[in-house]
Amino acid sequence: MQYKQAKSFVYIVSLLALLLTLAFAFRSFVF
Amino acid sequence: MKNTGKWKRTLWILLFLLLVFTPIGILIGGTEPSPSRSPWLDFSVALGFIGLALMAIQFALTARIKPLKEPFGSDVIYHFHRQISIAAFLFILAHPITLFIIDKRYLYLLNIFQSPLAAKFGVSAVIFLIAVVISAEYRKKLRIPYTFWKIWHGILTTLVVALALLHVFLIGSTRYLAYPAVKAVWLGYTAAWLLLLIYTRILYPLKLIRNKYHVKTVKEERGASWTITLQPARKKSFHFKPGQFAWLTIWKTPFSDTEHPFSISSSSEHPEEISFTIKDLGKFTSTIKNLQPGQNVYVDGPHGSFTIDRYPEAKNLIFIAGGIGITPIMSMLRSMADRNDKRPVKLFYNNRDWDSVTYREEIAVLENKLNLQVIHTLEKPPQKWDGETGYLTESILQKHLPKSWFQKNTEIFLCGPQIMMDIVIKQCMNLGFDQKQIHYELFNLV
Repeated sequence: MQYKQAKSFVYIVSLLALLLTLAFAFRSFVF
Repeated sequence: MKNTGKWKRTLWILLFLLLVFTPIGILIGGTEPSPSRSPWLDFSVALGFIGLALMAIQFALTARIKPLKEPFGSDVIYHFHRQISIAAFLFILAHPITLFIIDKRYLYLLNIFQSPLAAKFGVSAVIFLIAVVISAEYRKKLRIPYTFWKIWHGILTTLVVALALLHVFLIGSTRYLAYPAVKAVWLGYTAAWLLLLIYTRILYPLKLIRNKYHVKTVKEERGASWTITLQPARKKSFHFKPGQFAWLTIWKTPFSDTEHPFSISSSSEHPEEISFTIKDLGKFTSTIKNLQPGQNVYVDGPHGSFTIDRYPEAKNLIFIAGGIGITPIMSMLRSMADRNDKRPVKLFYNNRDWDSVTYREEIAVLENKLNLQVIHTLEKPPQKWDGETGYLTESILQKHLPKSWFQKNTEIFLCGPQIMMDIVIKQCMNLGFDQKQIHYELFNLV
């Protein structure tokens, strides 16, 4: 069911985006 | 065919991820953290960057780029557009909220009469974005007419992205946009977004005007519906697959952004003429009967992946229609008749009463031409009716489907009111059909 897959993809992209924003903000600690 | 679609989908998804994450990737890899700056300030900036990148990409999703829509289906793209736009909205909203949490003094930026120009742009963008989201989510509850909403949705979202980009360039020039790589990325996004606007608002409407259609006939059908048959004004006509739909602009020009989606009901084997059967359901559809032969209609199509042609290996076909949802299925039946396709077909066709069964007589003729069995279900049957009554149920489906049909090479095509589709999908799954065998398109997203 592509509708459900699309919704799951939105959650994955959002979560990944949130993690990357945190990685950027705290890059001096992370990297 | 399916494998090619899979590859195309994968490539589009990778491109999407690249576009969403390039700005943040450049920030992470190409900028230096400032010791005097709160990491939460950077967090806030990054939220805004992600949100804006997501917003700008929406213009590509809704630009009717056929190579993008075909592998997924237009309805899935619109569904995704709606979902991911809410994510974009939350990221953008979180950008100022984080600022206010870090330091309450930032609240002064909300006073657009005294705040700097960059803040004026940013705050206005967020206000317009809130209006966009509320009007899209609650259009029906707020009783906003579709055409009015559609025009303003286009105007407001354009304003949001334009103001947000101005906000980024003004405020960012002193900080992250001072890095050439970051600036180059955002200049690139701005240029691509402007090109998309030119394409969707100027070039695409011009193309539709060049390929306009004329009304050939307007015919009344059963069930308060009207069939309009169109012919291309110039020789060029598009080829479509049975079950696909097109956006029609009637009474106005394509620049007005007032098109409506309708399923093509005619046979795909005769693309020189295309027909649409439209039920009189509201302000716009009630004007269809007033169309005159020779009148201009602008047709943007074909679109959609709701078609039997995507499943050439299907051995048995089940069509389920509710009321005017018969139109794409009628295109499939007519095309099958023209192709001399003798695959067994069961059509479950639900209507209120016998007199409002659209295409009733023609379907009876097709029953003899095709290997087709029609099961009418009527909510208000006439006296002496020995067919099925009420809504379509699991037991009606089970009663009319041979056991040999409950296997992988049966494909189900479903079109009708949303509530009926939700119920029938569950019924089909209860009967043992796989989700992948059930095909439908949803269009009442707003």
